[in-house]
Order: sequence, then C-alpha cells, then structure tokens
Amino acid sequence: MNSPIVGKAVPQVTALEKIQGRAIYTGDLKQPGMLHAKVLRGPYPHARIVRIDTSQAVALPGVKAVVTGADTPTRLWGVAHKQQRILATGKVRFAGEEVAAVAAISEDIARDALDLIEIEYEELPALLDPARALEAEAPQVHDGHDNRVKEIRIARGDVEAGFAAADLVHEATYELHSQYPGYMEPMATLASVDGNGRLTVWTSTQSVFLARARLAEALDRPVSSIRVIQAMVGGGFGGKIVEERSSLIAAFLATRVNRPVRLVNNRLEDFQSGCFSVPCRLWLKMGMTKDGTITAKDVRILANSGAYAGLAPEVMLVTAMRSDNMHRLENVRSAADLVYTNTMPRGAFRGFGGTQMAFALNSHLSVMADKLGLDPFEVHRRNAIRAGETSVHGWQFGSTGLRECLDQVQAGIGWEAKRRRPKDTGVRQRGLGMAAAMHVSGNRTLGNWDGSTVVLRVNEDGRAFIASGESDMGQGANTMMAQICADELGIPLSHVTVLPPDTDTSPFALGSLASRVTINGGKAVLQAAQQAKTQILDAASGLLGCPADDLEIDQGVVRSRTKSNATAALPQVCRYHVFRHGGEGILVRATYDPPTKMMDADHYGNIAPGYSFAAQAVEVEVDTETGQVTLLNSCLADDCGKAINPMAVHGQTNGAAVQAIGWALYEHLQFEDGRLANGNFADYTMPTADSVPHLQASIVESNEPNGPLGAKGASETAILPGAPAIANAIEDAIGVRITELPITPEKILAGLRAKREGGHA
Amino acid sequence: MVERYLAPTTLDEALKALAAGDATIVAGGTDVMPQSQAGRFKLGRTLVNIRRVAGLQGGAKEGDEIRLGALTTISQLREDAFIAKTLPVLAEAADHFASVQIRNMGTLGGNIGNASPAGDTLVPLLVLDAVVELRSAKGMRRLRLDEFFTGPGKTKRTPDELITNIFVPAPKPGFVARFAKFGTRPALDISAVSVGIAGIVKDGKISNVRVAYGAVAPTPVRGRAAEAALEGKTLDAATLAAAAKAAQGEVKPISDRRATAWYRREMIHNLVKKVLADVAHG
Repeated sequence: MNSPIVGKAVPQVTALEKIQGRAIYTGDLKQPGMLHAKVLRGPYPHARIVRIDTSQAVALPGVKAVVTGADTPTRLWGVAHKQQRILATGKVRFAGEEVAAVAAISEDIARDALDLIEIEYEELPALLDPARALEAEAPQVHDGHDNRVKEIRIARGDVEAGFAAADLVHEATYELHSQYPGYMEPMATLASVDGNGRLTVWTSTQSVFLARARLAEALDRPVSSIRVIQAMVGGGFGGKIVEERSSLIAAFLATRVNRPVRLVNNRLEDFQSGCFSVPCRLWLKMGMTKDGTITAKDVRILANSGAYAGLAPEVMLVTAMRSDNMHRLENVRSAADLVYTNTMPRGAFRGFGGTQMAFALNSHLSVMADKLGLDPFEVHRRNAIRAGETSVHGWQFGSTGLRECLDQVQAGIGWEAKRRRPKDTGVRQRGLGMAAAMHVSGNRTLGNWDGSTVVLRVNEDGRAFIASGESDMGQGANTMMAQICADELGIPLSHVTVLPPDTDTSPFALGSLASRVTINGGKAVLQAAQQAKTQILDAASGLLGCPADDLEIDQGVVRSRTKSNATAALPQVCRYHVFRHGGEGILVRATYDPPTKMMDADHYGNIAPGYSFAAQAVEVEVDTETGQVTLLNSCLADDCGKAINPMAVHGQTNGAAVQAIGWALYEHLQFEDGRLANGNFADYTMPTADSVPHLQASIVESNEPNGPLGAKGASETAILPGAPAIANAIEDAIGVRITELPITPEKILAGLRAKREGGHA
Repeated sequence: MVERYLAPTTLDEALKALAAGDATIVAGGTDVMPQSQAGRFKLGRTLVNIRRVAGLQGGAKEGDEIRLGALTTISQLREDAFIAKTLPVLAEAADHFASVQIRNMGTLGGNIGNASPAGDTLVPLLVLDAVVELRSAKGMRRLRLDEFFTGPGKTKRTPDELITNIFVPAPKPGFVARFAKFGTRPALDISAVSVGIAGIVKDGKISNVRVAYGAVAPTPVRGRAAEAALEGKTLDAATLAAAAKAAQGEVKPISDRRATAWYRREMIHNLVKKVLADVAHG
C-alpha cells in the first residue's frame, strides 16, 4: 500500500482548535459551585514551623476551607523516596514550599485569605551550596538523614590503562545550571468529588496514570476511587510528569469541601512550584590517541536535587552514563553524587540529564580535537557507534543515524569553507562550533515494563476512535497516532479521533516521558490497526464473496485486487460486521512491550527499543566590546528513525534549538538568600525572536527495526547539542573557553580580559 | 485597598482627585499594575486613571522648546513623524523599549514618574536637557530632569502633583544625540547599562556636550567627567579613549542580578566609545 499520510507534513490534529482559541485547557474549565484555590508558601529556605493560626482566614466571608500540613494525610508520597506530604509539616525545606492552602468563592478572596494566615517560623541554618552538603557540620535538609540522596558508581574496562594509552589527556570542570521548563501553560488542576465520593481530576499532565498513582498515594485512598482526565496541555518539557505538587493540593482541597476546586498557577507561582532541571558540577577527564580515538572517560558529578528527591536520581544516572553509549568506548568510569539542599526540588526536564553531560562531553571533544589538530566532526565519526553494535553499557543499536546527522550539519553550515576563512579581527568576531548527542526512545524502568496499549474502535460509519493513555502535551502524539492509524486503515486523517487520556476509560499507560510514545505507543496503534483491518477485510469477504487476502482498503473503500466491480464502502462493511457479530462493532486491543532489558544493579542492560541521535553546528558572532553573542546560523539534524510527521518533527527540533539557546545564553535562575529572585519572564529571560537565527532543521531517517514504520522518538534529542555547539563556536571566535553556564556577556568580557592579561579564561 | 476609581477627562478634575490625597496615578499601568500585584507597591485608596485627560498627548514646537505631553505613549514616540524628525534619539530609545504591548500602553510621563535607574527614555531625556512640568491644584512648577530623581523609584514630585509635560530645548543646527542600551538578551530586556551622548558637532569638534548613564547609580545620572573630557574637543580616537576612560572612572555602579559592578564599568567604557563613534558619524 502506498503511504499517503505517514511521512506527510500535515498540521497537528489539535491545531485547528488551538489556533481558534477554542482548545479547552484546565484553566478554562468551570463547574457549578466551583471554588478557587490559592497556596501560601514559606518565605525561608529552611525554617521550623512553630505555630500556624488560620482563624482569621477561616472567618473571612467567602472562604470555604483553609488547610495546613496538619490536615493532610500522613502517608508520604514520592517517586522512589517517600518523603513529602501534600503541605509542609514541621518545617519548610525551601523558600516557596507550600505551607497552607485556601479554597474560596473567588480567586481574590482566596488571595486575601492568605494574608490573614499567621505563621510563626524559626529560621534554621540553610544549606544552599551543594558543595557543602556532604560536610559533617552541614545543616540536615531531612532531619536524621545525611544530605546524600544517591550515589552512583559505574566502572567498565580499565580507565587507567586507557589514559596510559592516550596521546592526550584532558580534564576540566563544568558548571551546568538549572532551567525552568517555561511552558506556555502554567500548572492547572480542577478537582471534584461526586456524590459517591469518587474524585475526578482534570489536570495538565504528561501522564494520567502516574498522576492517579501519585494522587492515590498522597491522598491515601484507593487508585480506583480517583479518575484523572487530561485536559489540553500547553507544554510540559518534563515538568508535568510526576513531581509537580499543585494538583495534589487542588485534589486535597476538593476532598475537604466536597465542591469542585480549581487551582491555576500564575507565572510566579509556577516558578515557585515548578520542576527545574538538575544542576550539577561535572568533572571530566578523557584520553585520546592522535587519530582521535577515545581511550578512556572518567566522570565525577555533584548534582543538586533541591529539597526532595523526585526523579533527580534517575536524571543524574542519565548524566553519569548515557553519553558513553554513543561512542565505541571500552574504558569508562562514573562517580556521581546527588545531594539535598534547601532550594527548590529539581528533576525531569527535556533531555533528562542528557544536556548536562552533552555540554561537558562536546566541550571536551572540541578542545581535544583542537589540541590534536583534528576536526571535531572527524572525532565524532571515528568513535561513533554503529547499527548492530552493543555499547559499553549493553545498549544494542538497531539503527544509528549519528554519522548522517554529522554529515548533514557539516554541509549545511558550510563548515569546510567557513573554517578556512581568516579569523575576524574587528569588534565582531565569528566562530563555528558543533556538537552531537544521543537519547533514548523509551526506557524500561517502571515495573520492568515499557509497553503501550491501545484500544481501537471502528464505528459503523467506518471512522476510528483511538483510546490510549499516552498523552499529547503539544508535541504531537495524537497526530502521530492518528496518522499511523489512518494509513493502516486506508481512511482519511479526519476520520480518526484520538480520545483524551482518561484513567476510567483509557488503557493503562506510562505517558509522555523518555521519548517513548512514538516508538511504543505508535507501534501499539500500528498493531491495533492491523488487527482492525483484518476484521474489516474478513467482514468484507463475507459481504463481497471474495477471499479476504484478495481485498484491500483504499480511500475508505474495500475493493478486490482482482475483481474490479467488487467494492464496498467502509460504512457498509462496518455496519455489516455489527449485524453479523451479534451487535459487536469492530473493537480491538493491542499491546506492544518492546524487547528491551532493564538495567541490572550494575547499570547494564538495553533499556530502549531504539536510540536517537542529533548533531548541530552553529555559527556565532561575538561582540568583543559588549560580550554579546549572536547566533548567525544553526543547523540541527535529528535522527528520529522515520518522521511520521515532518512538520511536527521540525517543530520539535526548532523548539529544542531555541530552548538550548536559552539555557546556554539567557536563562539564569537567580537567588537572594535562598529565595528565587527572578520568577517572571521580564527577569528570567527566555529567548525571544530577536535571539533566534534562521534555524535549519533536517531529518535523518535511520529506519529503526523496532519502531513503527521505522520511527523513534523526536522530542528530546535535539535539545542536547545546542549549548555545547554555541560554547565551541565562541571559543572558535574569540579563543575564550566558557565552562560555566549560562554564557553571559559578562563572562565573555571577563574571559577576553583574562586572555589579554595573559591568563587563561 | 482601592476604594474608588476615577477616570477624569480634564486636568482640573485629575488634580482635584490628587489633592484629596491617598491616590495612585495610573496612565498605562505597565509599572503600577505588576508592581502592586507583586506586592512591591501599595495602591492608594483612590485609583486615578489619567489616560483620558485631554491635552497631554504628543509633541509640538512651542517657541524655543519642544513640548512632549506626559501621556504620549512609547509607541507614539517611536512612530510620530514630528518626533522622529526633531528628536530621533527618543524614537531610537522607544524602539528598544520593552515589548510592543508595553510600548502601546506605557507613557513618557509614567516612565519618568516610575524613576527606574534603568528607565529607557530617561537617559535620552537627560542628554536632551529636559525639564519636567508638574501641576497640582495649587499651581505649576518646572524642575530640571537632572535634579528631579532622588533615588530608585523616588522623585521630587509631591503626591498631589501630576507630571503634565516635558520640555526640551529645540535642537540647534549641528545637534546630534545618540543612545545605546545593553541587556543580556537582544530584545525585551531591562538595561544592564545604557549611555546617551548629545552635543553640537561642527567641523569635527563637539560642544555643548551632555552625557548620561542609566543603571549605574540609584538614578539615571549625568556624566560630568566625560562631558569635560569631550567639551570643545575634536572627535578623534584619542578623545574617544579619554572620554571612555573618564566615564569608566566616574561611575560607581553596584553589583546586582543584572550585572556586576566590574562589568558595568567595563560596559560604560565600551558603550561611551561606541555611542561617540555614532555621534562622530552624525
């Protein structure tokens, strides 16, 4: 069958309602009797809660409930570390931690009520610097526990022998900072308890089933007493997986007042309660032979989890070892420590720890290539892992498009010609840089399962409904599923409806994380559609008197390949099926659990059915009088296996490029006495259109054998190479190596001064 | 808490409302609203929206002066043909001012009244030698802009006074004024530093020099040392270097979230050179 829809750049199936302003986000939802919630946050990074008096707030007309930590269930919730209650009890562990919440008949009254809650705090010494966390006299973030969250030690091969065999050994320390997800839609939840006591929660989430599990844990009630429905999600970037706290507060309030309660973060509140990426200090030492072969890699990491663990241990594991798999390495060692501090909790963020190491690794490779007189593209090519190979940590590669990604961006930026041009000597100096990285498509962790299940129904009009618990957060999951289904069934895209994830009606799913939805969810859709097609053709066989294997579906019509007059429109066939099967319509279920292997205790396994790659080359111009860095060009190639929808892939690739520019150059969380000082978009400066050059995004289709129609994930990999490519281009332009993010104009000028004065930057 | 909202259409009504006391003036609201929402600023009992007050819009030549109405929006500064022709430095500053939405709402008088050390119109107005007209129910007075600011967010305006107009001398032949600001991000960023320079350039020499800096002191300030280094001099490389050095020496910035003191001094040095090069080119 030809493929008219898969591979076609069609607008997303959610695009029309969004551009008309008619998409329903959680903040748009209203219910009769609905109350509005507001949250009071602790002002100190570390303080004992001595006394709370809510009497005045309770007395304010219009206030229906005021709750504090003492009211919340005592059961602790958390990802692996069960350590949080819905509101802080005993002490606050970071400035901004939720201490009390109000439900009132209007948002204004709820906000006014917050001012009437009296809380007496006893300030405690705060641990703000992760480097101090493991000192004996450091304040304890969690009383009775030292501040170490997690310790990872991985060693394979013989690192010392690898260094001994190297012609060049280079070591450096990098500082990788924390990034706010910056989605357009701040967290929002509407929770309601019905007359039978069941709780329904509409929320902005990347995973309805993980949200339900977390609600059940935090509210200490049965999973089946909770229904979670995904409203339209305005971006997630990892921050809406399992770590956000506001949905728990909204749900808890709803159970206290038996009325619907809506909690919508404003931007400041979202900064205070959002999920930021894990910052770390990363020391890296690598050995290389003259021809560019990497002989050893040694890593030490000190990462900051903030006040709670969340997903940060998993994130740090990725930083510690994922990038080892993109090259043919034998001798690797990682020692990573994650510590608590009295700062906001950190965790999942697009790239899931990959950006941190991608910056260090690519900075390192660029420096080492320079010292050895090699081209960094050649260094990557020389070491690149290939399809059919198994990496040092046991990852098996069915497809790798790394070399093609390198080829495309090298040609696209005009690398050869531009590298040969004479260096600029004026005020503005141009430079070129590149970087490459890899990511997973799927990750076998939770329950030793990474599967996806789809229920597919074809109605009596021949149109299809897909029920899946995997979620669209703007990245295009629904469009991807609809395209695969439409193609397989031979029906127009508009005849496929993807239902919103709903824990009462959707099959169980892990949701949108680890770039797993296309490869696993897409495969489940493909298998379900194949089953449905078999049922349709069997029914048509009875209707038309032709053998089923003589039939095909094309443009919504079943036709015989041999008898030109034997045709039946799909509605006719589907109605026939209903009446010949006791009123049963076409309804199939398919599960795809990829053939992967969870990591063992030594972090060895083959966690993903496919691994995706990206490479980026950028040209920058540095103003040596102001230190301002301007991107002139960017070429970013993403190996997504097969682009089910090239338009959506381009959107992801370009968006990732911009988010990487923000992390590298502009975004910078700032604290004063442990308090976030720039929780708004005037002072937390994400890139605007003026900061973004013309972006070239290209697609590499390496055809993953495990993927649906060859596809892998395409949402995260592209964010990985941007920041190091920029840092490498800056060094090429002005001879200053920046190892600490973000790369501010001030660091550039300081680096230039150090260079002038004969020191080193 | 706000108890009364007034939207007077005449100046007299507006001044009467201010005379009654405990009033907050709102024009575009682009500073008042976010600052009061964030709890940094407490609204008075009466909110006086002066947006509809007649006669405080736009620019016009009046005798030897140019009058700029306090309610002129930043977008108008940027787009107005008269301002573009007579005071292009203001149009240039408006072009680098926040976002289009904020420019549409924000007013010149508001930017002055808000008295941010980084206010984008203030440095150009200082080098244009602007004078602020204040009116109250009791009368009118004029204050030189370089004596108007007393601290971050603080001015000599009394609570019953309204900034009604800004006057600048009509530019004489050879008059050139230039402005540059620098923040981390190319658009929509609050200045880490800004520099304005004006003077009369004739036969390669500059006279009647005025230099001003933003975001390096509690208020926007005049750069007297740089002015002295430039007055009457030929705009050659040596003069540029001397003026830049004088500027760097005279500012005493602080380190804050946007930049360190070291970087600000460095940037004042480099921006003065850059802006002077623009001035030299006319």
